[in-house]
Amino acid sequence: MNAILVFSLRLLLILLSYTFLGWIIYTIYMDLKRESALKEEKTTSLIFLSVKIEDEEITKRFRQPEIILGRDPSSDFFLNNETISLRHCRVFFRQKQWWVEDLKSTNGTYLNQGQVTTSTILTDGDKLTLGKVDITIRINQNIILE
Amino acid sequence: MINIFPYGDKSSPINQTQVKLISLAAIVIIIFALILSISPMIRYHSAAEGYRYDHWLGVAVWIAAFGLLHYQSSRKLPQRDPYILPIVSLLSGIGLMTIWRLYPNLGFRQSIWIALASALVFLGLNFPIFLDYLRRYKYIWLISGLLLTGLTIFMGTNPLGNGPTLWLEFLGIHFQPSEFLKILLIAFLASFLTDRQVFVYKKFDILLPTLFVIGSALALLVVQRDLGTATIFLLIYVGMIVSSKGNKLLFYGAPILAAILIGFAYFYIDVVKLRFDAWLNPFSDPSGASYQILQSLIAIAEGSIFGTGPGLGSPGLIPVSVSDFIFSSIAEELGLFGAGLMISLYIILLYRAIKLIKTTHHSFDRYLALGLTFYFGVQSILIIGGNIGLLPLTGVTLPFVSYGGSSLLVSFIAMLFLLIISKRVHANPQIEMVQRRRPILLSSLLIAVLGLEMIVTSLASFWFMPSLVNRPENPRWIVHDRFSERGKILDQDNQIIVTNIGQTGSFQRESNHIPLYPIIGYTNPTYGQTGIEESMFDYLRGYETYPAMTIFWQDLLYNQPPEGSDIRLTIDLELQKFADSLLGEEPGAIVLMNAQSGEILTMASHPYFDANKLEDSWQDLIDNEDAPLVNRATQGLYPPGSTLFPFVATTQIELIQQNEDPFSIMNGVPQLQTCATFPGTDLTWQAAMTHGCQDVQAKLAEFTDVNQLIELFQNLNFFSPPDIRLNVAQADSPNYDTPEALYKGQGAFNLTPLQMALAASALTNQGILPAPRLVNAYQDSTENWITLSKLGQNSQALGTDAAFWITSLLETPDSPHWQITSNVGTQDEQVITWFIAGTTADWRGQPTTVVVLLERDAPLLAEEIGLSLLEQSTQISLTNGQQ
Repeated sequence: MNAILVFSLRLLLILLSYTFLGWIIYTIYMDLKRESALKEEKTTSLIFLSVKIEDEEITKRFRQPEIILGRDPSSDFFLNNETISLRHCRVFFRQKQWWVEDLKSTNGTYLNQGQVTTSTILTDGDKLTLGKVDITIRINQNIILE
Repeated sequence: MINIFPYGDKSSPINQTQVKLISLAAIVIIIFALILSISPMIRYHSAAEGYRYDHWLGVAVWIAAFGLLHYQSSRKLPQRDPYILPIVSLLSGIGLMTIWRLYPNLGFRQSIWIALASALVFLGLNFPIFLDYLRRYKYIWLISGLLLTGLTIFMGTNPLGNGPTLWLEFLGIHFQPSEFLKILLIAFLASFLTDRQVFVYKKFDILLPTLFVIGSALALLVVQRDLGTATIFLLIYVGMIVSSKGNKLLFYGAPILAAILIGFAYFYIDVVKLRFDAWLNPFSDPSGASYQILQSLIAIAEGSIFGTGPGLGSPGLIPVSVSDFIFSSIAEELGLFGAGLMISLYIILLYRAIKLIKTTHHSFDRYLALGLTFYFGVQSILIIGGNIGLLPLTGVTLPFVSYGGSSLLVSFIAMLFLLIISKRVHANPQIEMVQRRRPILLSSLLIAVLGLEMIVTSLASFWFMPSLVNRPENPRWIVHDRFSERGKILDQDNQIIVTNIGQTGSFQRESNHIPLYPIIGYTNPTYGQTGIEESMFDYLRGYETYPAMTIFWQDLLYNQPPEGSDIRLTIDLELQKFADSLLGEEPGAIVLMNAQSGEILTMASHPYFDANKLEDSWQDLIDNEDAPLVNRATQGLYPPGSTLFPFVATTQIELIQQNEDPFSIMNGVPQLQTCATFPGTDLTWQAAMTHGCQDVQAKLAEFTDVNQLIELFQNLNFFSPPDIRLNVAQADSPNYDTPEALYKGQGAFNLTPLQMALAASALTNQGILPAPRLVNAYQDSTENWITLSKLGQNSQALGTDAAFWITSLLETPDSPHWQITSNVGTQDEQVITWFIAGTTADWRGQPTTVVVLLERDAPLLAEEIGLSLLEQSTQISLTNGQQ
């Protein structure tokens, strides 16, 4: 009788320890699913930043959710102008909107002539001024990337 | 789910996940402990043994420790990773129970260490800020770690008394500074890399200072022969530097450097060579270099899929089963399921650590998490790989599981670091940065290797299971023998020859007739098995006699074979005792057999031994020139001399019939001193053969073609060993170059007494050579006697007429038997004596033959022994051939 009891306990031991394992894997899987759903939410719409330097217009297209603008060559949008700080401002996608945020730049960031002091929503056709450089924003709302 | 642990904010999903997992782990550990409690009753098949209680103290400590840690972590670190603590709890719980099951005193100490380590983590959870101190004072920490490790060179001790002196003793507690150095080194590298990342760096800015640090640490460890830790250091270092800085030079240089280092160590450090050789050829030296790895593999195979069950296996047979080989110990008792669980837990732990590397915002945290990933990963890979034969043995500990205070403390501290790092991760994970791909890729490699180890483990416990379990190096049958009664060995009238004494757990063999031991053989944990005990292994333990389902259930429920089956020999114990008394102290052998059925009624080999006193007398037995351990009847090879005479005579029937006596073919007077006994003055053929006149025999043989002679001997099975359930000597092969040996029966031509007895039976049994039979029957599970078939086949060795003619010629007047005595010099200048005899056609009873061999020149004694025995067995009075 004891032998049967111990054998059932052994089976239970295996069963429960794999329940433990399965549970962890299940909850991790659910986490991942939730995360990827979150990520999906964060999928950006296309944004074009154009700048006019010496009558030449440079347009760059971005897909990433965060764009750093600045004089630092490693910035996402590199602007070689001494009125612009190394890391001047940040354009980012949050809650299905593009936002701009000043990164404590020396000469400040202006959106359609108004100074940006807090995170502000951008719309298609907005003009962003960094120091003495004007940047035109084009946002294509229709293209939602996967 | 019952939540047996109190915790802070009940609504937090993190707390809920953690508490459910820890509760589940607690139930698993409680069931484990419950099985351990009942296991003695299973092993001993009775309630008398009672339960085991002591390990419940460990369970209590474990529950208290992890209950507190859970409580504290949910209060202090609300945003922590909820999987790390439950995984650690299950790992350390299984480890603790396994240690306690093996050595209760070590289990007790491990419980104390778990309590201490948990107390430390508890404190650490109150002051998570200490991570910053670790970073800020990195040099002080590192140097003190190095100094402590260096101190072991001068003040090191070893808790076992000998071996590498890697420990420092303080107030009676041993601790191993190199374990702590691991974590300090990781912390140092993490803070160093954090400090340097801001600047544009040159390769050597990073490489040189860290190389200096790691070099000095390695030098210390190599001096102290702590090579396992050195390997871990090196791997963690390379892993951290390469994955954080992508240093190509180091990435490609490291394998080359490793190869050089290993090569160097292989030739200059003995233990490295030993470990590598054992790894490359695990089956080459099963009792020496590869003993550990082979025993570990056998234990894993023994566990198979389900395991033997906690407390029911024999993991104590694995060397260092509580530390280096704890993985195999767990695999034996919990099976592939348990081993898979352990590896999966490590994989998830690594996965969570890698996730921290991915999501953390602080550089220091990232590098620290990276280092800890490598710490857990490298260590578990090395030790599990060593246990399953995938990697050479490194002698490091399995984190959280192995016995060892220092290692447990450091593993817990590492867990604390991970918990604190996980708390600092931002609640809403940001998008991954590009440069983090490399560390994630490299550390994912660790998971892949663990996955590979899982596959290799399943190969050992499933695919290669039968071949590993059945290896002769597997000593578990010795344990089984003590717990399951083996079958008795009976004589042909069911008189007991060998039985068991003692009770479950201490069964032992006992013989009623000690002189029979060379035939019965011994069963000894140290020296193995011989004789019938060896050849009838599967019957005596029921493996052959029970239905497969019975064996399967016995194995599954008890991890024991069923009660063994009795076997019945053809030996007649009365005759055997008589034969042994006749032979007395003479070195020699006797075979008495039924010439028709091949049943061996008596087999004696003197001097003999007592199998129950092997331990005390082993060296004497081995050194003894008379070799008592050898069964002379089947393993002793002796030149046949003129016992060949009657067989050779069958090829020259015409010649003998034409010449009335041997004088006419001798070309002179035969040299009668070559006869074993005096044949009388008027030498007849009968007298020449009976008295073993070698001179006459050699002359007669010369008339015979060597090919004809060899054919005759082949028919008599002189060149092939008999098929009998005993170890037999390799038979000589026919040699055409030295026909002299075949003619004279001397030199490079030898026979065992058993071969001789079978050939003699062919004379008595109308030319038919019987196949020998020693084991008659076994008793199956329903107590019916089942006859065992003979291993060999009877064969016609001589013509029926020829056999009849020669036995008639040889027949002693007034007595229904023939006999031959001969003496012959062996190659090592010793003289031996043969006496062979058998009944003739005039005898109406069982045709019987007897062979007596004495290892000295004693023809009269041999004749006396042989005739008395033949008389006793046939119950007739025989007249001596001489009179």
